[in-house]
Amino acid sequence: MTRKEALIWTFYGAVLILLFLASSTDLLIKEREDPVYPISVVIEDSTDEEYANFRKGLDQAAMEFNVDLSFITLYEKDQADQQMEMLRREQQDGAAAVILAPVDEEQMDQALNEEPLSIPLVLWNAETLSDRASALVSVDCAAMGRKLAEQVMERHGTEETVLLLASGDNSVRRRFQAGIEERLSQAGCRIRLADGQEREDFRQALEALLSPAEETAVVVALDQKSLRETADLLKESPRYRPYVKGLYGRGTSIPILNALDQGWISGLMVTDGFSAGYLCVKQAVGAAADRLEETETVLDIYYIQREDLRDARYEKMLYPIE
Amino acid sequence: MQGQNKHGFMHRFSIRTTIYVYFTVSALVAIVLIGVSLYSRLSGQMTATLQEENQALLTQVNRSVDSYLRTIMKLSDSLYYGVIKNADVTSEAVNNEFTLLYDNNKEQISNIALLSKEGELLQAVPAARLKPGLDAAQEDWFSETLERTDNLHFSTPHVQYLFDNTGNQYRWVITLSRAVELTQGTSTEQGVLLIDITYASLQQLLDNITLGNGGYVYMADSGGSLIYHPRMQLIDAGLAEENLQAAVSYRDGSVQEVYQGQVREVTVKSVGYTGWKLIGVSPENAISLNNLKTNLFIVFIVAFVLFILVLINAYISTKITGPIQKLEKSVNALEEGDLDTEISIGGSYEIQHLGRSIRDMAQRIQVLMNDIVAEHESKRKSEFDTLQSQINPHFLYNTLDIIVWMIENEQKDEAVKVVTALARFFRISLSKGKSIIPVGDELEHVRNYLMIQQKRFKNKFTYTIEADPEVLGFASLKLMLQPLVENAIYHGMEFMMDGEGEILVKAEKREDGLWFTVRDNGLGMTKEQAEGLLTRQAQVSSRRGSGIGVKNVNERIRLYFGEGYGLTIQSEPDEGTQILIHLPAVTMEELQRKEGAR
Repeated sequence: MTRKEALIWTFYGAVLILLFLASSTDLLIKEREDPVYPISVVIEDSTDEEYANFRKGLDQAAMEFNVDLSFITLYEKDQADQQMEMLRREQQDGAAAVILAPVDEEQMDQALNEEPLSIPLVLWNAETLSDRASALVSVDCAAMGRKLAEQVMERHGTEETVLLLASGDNSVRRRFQAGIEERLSQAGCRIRLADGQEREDFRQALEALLSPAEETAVVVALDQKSLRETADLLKESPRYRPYVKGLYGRGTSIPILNALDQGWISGLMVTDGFSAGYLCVKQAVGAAADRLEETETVLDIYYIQREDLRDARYEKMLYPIE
Repeated sequence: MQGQNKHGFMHRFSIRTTIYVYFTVSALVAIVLIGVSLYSRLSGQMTATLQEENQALLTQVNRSVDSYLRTIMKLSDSLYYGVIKNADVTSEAVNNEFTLLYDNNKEQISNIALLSKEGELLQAVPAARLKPGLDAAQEDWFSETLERTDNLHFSTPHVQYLFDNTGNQYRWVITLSRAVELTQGTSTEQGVLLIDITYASLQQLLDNITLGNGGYVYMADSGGSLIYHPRMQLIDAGLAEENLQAAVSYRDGSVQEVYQGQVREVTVKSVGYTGWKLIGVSPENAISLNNLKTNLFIVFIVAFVLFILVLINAYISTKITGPIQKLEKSVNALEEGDLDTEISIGGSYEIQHLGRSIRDMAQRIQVLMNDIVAEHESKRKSEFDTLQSQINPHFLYNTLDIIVWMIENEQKDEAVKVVTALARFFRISLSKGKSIIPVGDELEHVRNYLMIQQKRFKNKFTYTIEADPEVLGFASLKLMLQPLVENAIYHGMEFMMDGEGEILVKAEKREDGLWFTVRDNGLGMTKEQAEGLLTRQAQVSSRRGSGIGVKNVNERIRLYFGEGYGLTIQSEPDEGTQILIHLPAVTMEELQRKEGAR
């Protein structure tokens, strides 16, 4: 065998070995692995009652994108410090990304500036995409407030007092409130604000319509808890009904939708919570895998009344099929 | 020219390389053809098999859905014909039956309700009341059901809204409604039997059905509304898309479509009675072997098999060409003149035969060359003998003696004759070194010899030389006749009485060539003696004549003219001897031309 032949044989043998390694082992070409992404969701509330549709969206996305999802609630609602603490804990626990519904965006920015996160952060329902976050899925709460205010004025005119009820304080509520107040103020409506934590607080607020002087008002709940509690109060106590011209708010939880269906709530601002949850996970996976496509998504808002509950357009959005 | 180039290209390679290349290329072509055929066939078979399996799976799912719906329909029939018809619908017995049937089918049924044609709720299990403010009779489905009384009506999935729901749950249901005859006293009137099928139970039949890699099943009604889709919620939210309108327009069977850049196999099966369509979608790349690693594996297999074949090829071609190469080396050595080289005999039968033939040929060449050498040696010796004889001193001395005696005895004329004859004799003997002379010269030569010898032997014999004039120009060997005449003189004439001896030298042309006859009437010899003349040295010593024997003459004739020519001796003791010489009848010019051409 000549030297040339020996070289050719050696080269051919090497090619065979390479082909074998490439085709039958993972040494050269690795089979596409579908990694599992551990992603944590930290909300601003102590319960997930208002996140039912959002969670369904999260679950659907978790199934599609191979996500190990952790849903974290606070010990106490609207505690920004606690929320940041939860955030860091999830990072330490090995989360690939975190979805955060911030209690207070300013505090969040400040905290993250002092100690930035080392994992991608996706914000749900923040006003703007922070420099410290990778993506944002949000609803224009101010626009929502403005739209609701217009609907209220359309139905009740500008002469009725508008009683704003709120439970807790967070960025979302503040933006929603700002939108409502902006439109109502522009129209010259009278606005009264009542904060409360428990049902009794809302009862007191309704009682204030009866005495010392009787007056009617249109009640706008700035958050789901105050809306739910007020609806229950109207259902349970007929004495408030003559003084409440209409009850309005935002939210898509089943009790709220039932209250709308039963007529205790006059109108609701809603959004697609399922899509919100789905998109948050999708963005989180994209950020974790370094292939984020869209950084900001703003969901549509809708004003619905009772008859709209059976509209096919809203039915699946409000009652997502699991 | 092109043909030469073509052959020239192949001629550059050894037989081993040629066999190697041809075999390897053939093997490679065969492997690739077989590989491609098998791959196409297998791929096609796999595609067909997967498609069949998908079809079978879809058929099975279709049967399951059909069976499920038929079960519900049967339940509706049981309720109507077994419970409601001809019964007091407000009675507790009817409610018990309803409850029993509901309890037995809780997994599939959310509600069973019986409504009057005014929309009044007559029976409901589980116990419930209509939502306040809801007038069932105003609902589209209600009026449709009452219009088409023969049919069972299936709605599309919807959230259950008829009954008051105070909980935190909602249920997706599919409503099966039918018109029924309600008996109230003696009169009958229409009503509506309603069964809400839990969507979850139908969903269970279709969830997690996968068709290959990335394939799925969904269901839609003939109007294009989704009944079930694994991504139903996303499609409704606008986050995903499905080629729904096209799919519901397809007939039952399989069709290939391109949707969002992807080729898909879509299989449609209609679900009985409802008009719903079960649609299976399989992306094309899910049922294909086309994958980088698979392709590399195929390349590896082809390369590996080729590797093995090339190894075998190398072995076989070496086995075949090895003996040929050894034989070639032997032939090269032969070519360079080494006739003693060992010829390699090996390999296949043909190569062995070739080797043996070459070996025999080499041996024969060796023999022929030896023959040539021997012939040349013989010729050289003959020439040497002839040369030597040309100046035989004894004949010269004796002749000179005769001349001296003649001169001393005042026989000057005779002396002149003898001197002249002697001069002519030696002139022709030399003939400028030529071996072939004209017949005329050869006869002249022997004439001079005879004349001298006649004088020496005191006219003991007479001689005659006869020749046709035409033969005088023919070619003859020099010093051919003289030795024979010398033999005749010394064997025949020596013991003859004066004048009794006769020597005849004759040259004539016959049909088969040129014939010379040298005849004497001398002592003759036996057959053995005659044969001995040609096989051994003549008894006549070289001192007496030219010194060249009869054998030498015969040898020279055969050497120059071939084996077919030579001497024939006929002799009888006491009778005499005749020697016949046969030469080819060629003229000097012809012979010179032949030798020039050689």
